[in-house]
Order: sequence, then C-alpha cells, then structure tokens
Amino acid sequence: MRIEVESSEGFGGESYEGLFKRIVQDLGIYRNVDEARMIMRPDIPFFLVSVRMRSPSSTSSIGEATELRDAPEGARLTILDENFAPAILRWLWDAYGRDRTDQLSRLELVVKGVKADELRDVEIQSMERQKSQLLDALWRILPEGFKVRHNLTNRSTITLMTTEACMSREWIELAEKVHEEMSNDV
Amino acid sequence: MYEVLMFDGGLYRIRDFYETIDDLGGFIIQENRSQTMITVTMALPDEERGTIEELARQIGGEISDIPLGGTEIAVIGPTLGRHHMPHPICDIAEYMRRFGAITIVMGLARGKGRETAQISSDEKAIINEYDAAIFVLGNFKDCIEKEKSRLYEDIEVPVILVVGPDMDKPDHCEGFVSGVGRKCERMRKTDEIKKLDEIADTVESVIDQHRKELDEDPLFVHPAEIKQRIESLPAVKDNLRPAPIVLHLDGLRVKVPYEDIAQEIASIEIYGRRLDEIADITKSRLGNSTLIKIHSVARVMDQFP
Repeated sequence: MRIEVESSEGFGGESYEGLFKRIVQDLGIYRNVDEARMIMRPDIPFFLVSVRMRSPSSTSSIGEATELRDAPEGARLTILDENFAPAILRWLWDAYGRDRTDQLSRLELVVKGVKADELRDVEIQSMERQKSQLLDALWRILPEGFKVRHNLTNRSTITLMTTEACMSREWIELAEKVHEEMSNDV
Repeated sequence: MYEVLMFDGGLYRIRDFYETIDDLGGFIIQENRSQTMITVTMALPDEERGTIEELARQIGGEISDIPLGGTEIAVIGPTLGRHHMPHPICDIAEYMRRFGAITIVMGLARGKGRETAQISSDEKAIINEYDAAIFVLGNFKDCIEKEKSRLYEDIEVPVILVVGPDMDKPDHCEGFVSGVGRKCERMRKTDEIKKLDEIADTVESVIDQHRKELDEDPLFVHPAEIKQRIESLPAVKDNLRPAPIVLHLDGLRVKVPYEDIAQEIASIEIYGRRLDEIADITKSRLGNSTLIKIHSVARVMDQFP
C-alpha cells in the first residue's frame, strides 16, 4: 500500500498517515488498498482523502478463479489465483460445512456430493463489500466535525472532500483532479 | 500539611496500624481487602511519615506515595465519538488512577469540528466541580492555537492541556503536554508510556501548586475529617455506589442525592460548629451527588467570630 500525505503541518500529516494504516489494518482491508492520498489543510479548513482499491482481478466467480471439474466423490477445484483461496474456502465451509470440504493440498479442493456446475457461477469476491469496508475506514479517519462533503466514486477509487465551511468550486475541482489522477494511476 | 499515602500489606496487626494512624492525627480514606491482603489509602500529617513507615515495615507491609490521592480529576475530550475514545482519553484517565486520583471521562456535546467547537455553561459548571481538568485535543497546531482556547479559557479549576503537535504552551492552561494527539490504539509502547508519565508529572505539579495555594489560607478542617464523620450515616453506609464519598482538595463529593442528605449533614458538628457554617453544601450538577466545599479558617472566623 502506498500512502501520500500533503499537510500544512508536519505532525498532523504523519499522525494521519499512521492512523490510516492502523484503521485499515484493524478492519482487515490493508491488502485491499492499493494507494491512498490525503490532503489536509486545517487552516482553510478542508480534508481530502482519496483511496484506490486493489482490484480483485476481472474474475469474480469460482468458475473463473479455479479449474473446476466433476470427480467421483464430488466437485474438484484447482485454485488458479491464490488470492482467492481464503474467500473460496470460506464460502465452501459456510455453504457445505467443513466435513464435506476436503483440502487436498494448498490449491486442491474437493467438495463431496456437489456437482461442479453448482459452483461455477458463485461470486466469491465483490467490490461492493470492499467498498463498504473502505467507507467504514474513511468515516473513522475523517475529522469528526467536517460534515460538508463532496464524494466521487468509480469502480476502484473513492474520493471524499470534506470541510466544515461552505464547499467551494475550487476544492471540488481539486477533488476531481485528485480523483482522476488516482483512477488513472494504475 | 497532610500527605496522602498508600499501605500495601497483610491483615496481620491491621488494628494496631489503624490505631496508630488515628493517634498520629491521620485519617483512613479508603480500604480494599482482598482475602488476606489489604490496601489502605490514608491522609497523614507529613511529619509523621517516618513513624508509619516504621510500623508498616514491622508488620510486613510497605508505604508508597500516591501523589494524586484525594483528588477527583475530569479528563475531557471534544466528543464521545470513536475519534477520541477510548484512546487516548481513557488511557490517560486510567493512568491517572494509578497515581491515586479518582477520574471521570467526559465528552462535550458540541465539541467537534474546528470553528464550530463549543462548550456550554452547564459543561463548564460540571468541570468546575473537579480538582483539575485534563483537556485532550487533536493533531493540528493551527486549530488548537486559534480555535480551541474557548473550550477551556473560562474553566475555574486548573487546566492541563494534552495535544498532538509540538507547540508553545497556550494561555489559560496551567499544565501542557504535547506529542499525544489522535490515537486509535492503546498507549502501550515505551514512548507512549513515557508520555503518560509526563502527563502524570504535569498533573502532579499543577495539583501540588494548587495544594500550596490552599495552604496559604488553610481549610477549616481537612476533607478526610468530614469524610470520617459522615461515612457512618445510614444514607452513605447503605449506598451501593463504589466509593460513595470522594475527596477533593477543598471538599468532598458525597454520592447521595442532595435532597436525601443535605439537612442531615448540615447539622453535623465539627470543632463546635455546624457543617453548614464551615462549608457550602450544594447539589452537584452530576446526577444524584452532593458537593461539600470547605471554607478557609479565615472565612469561618470572619463569619462566625
């Protein structure tokens, strides 16, 4: 995770960088954040935070993330992208229980008594869940009294410009510029 | 001058110990028994410390200082939101308790924001009931210097300001510690514990200064003496709240509703005078408590020669 902080005050900038890292760690989304940028100007005052999430890749179903076939005992899965392994295992344990899910090796799984087709379209990781977790992190980091907000969001990036004064066109333009840079900077 | 000390030891000869405290002109503030062990907080004339230390040694216990003993301190944050609580405000409150203070944690109703942060007159009145107020503020120097002094400038009790950025001590505060700021985890690293020690030292020096000021025009009676007289009252004895009587530097908080106890305690006689002649007995702003503020000797002599 890359974090860039621009602050008119040294201590404030360093402190918020540490707070951001700690909060995303606490929420278990450290690995989901690709890059974060914060601009804080307490003297004006405004606080901007823009975060780009690490994409869970274009595949998002078990059929796409694994090589899936029918075996005599059930469905046999070979995980192709190890990033998906925890999510696939968690889903299978929840759906069929640990008794029916055998992990033969690090990437080899057998789900007893299940047809491969049943699993093919199961969505195992969605950006929406990541986004809601990330929003939780952002509400925690934003200064508490800054209730006037301008939000920008696309598939991978969330940008929040917040202040307690009236929102100005200039700040909105700054937020749009940062949002665009973050969205393109992949 | 009275010194607040703590005895940590066993029950062996504890009656002798209590009698000696009484003979030396001291008072028991609190005792906590745990099986055969006991911890006793006491107020003792400072010249008698050697005697009690010698007795404690003979009975296998030890005496230690609790520099903030006999004080009640408010630790105040801009709000009760998770931006400020539980860390670092509760960490500071908990650490002050290790030095003998009774602490409460308070969040302001409208304290959030920079220019919009406010404190109400009710909140100021509540804070003024304590011996000292620790205000814990955030990370930005500009915000603290320009906008936050209005939160504490009208507070009448000593104020200790704890902030994040390194800056000069602002006006309207007696103690100042920088290097804390917003935190989202417990203060448990070595440098953070040093910072908590620094806060405790600052609070201690502010309280000491306040004690010296009180000694210049001494109280008619030590708060512990009044405690001893009222703790046997049924309303106090039957009270289930932990520590129903809390000592202040210049009085006490009795955690019994004013309506239930005011008349009874007003008529208690101390050194030939009624308690309401030597102290102000008022209703606390903080639910169901009664405050006693003891007058100085000079004031009592002036009013009732």
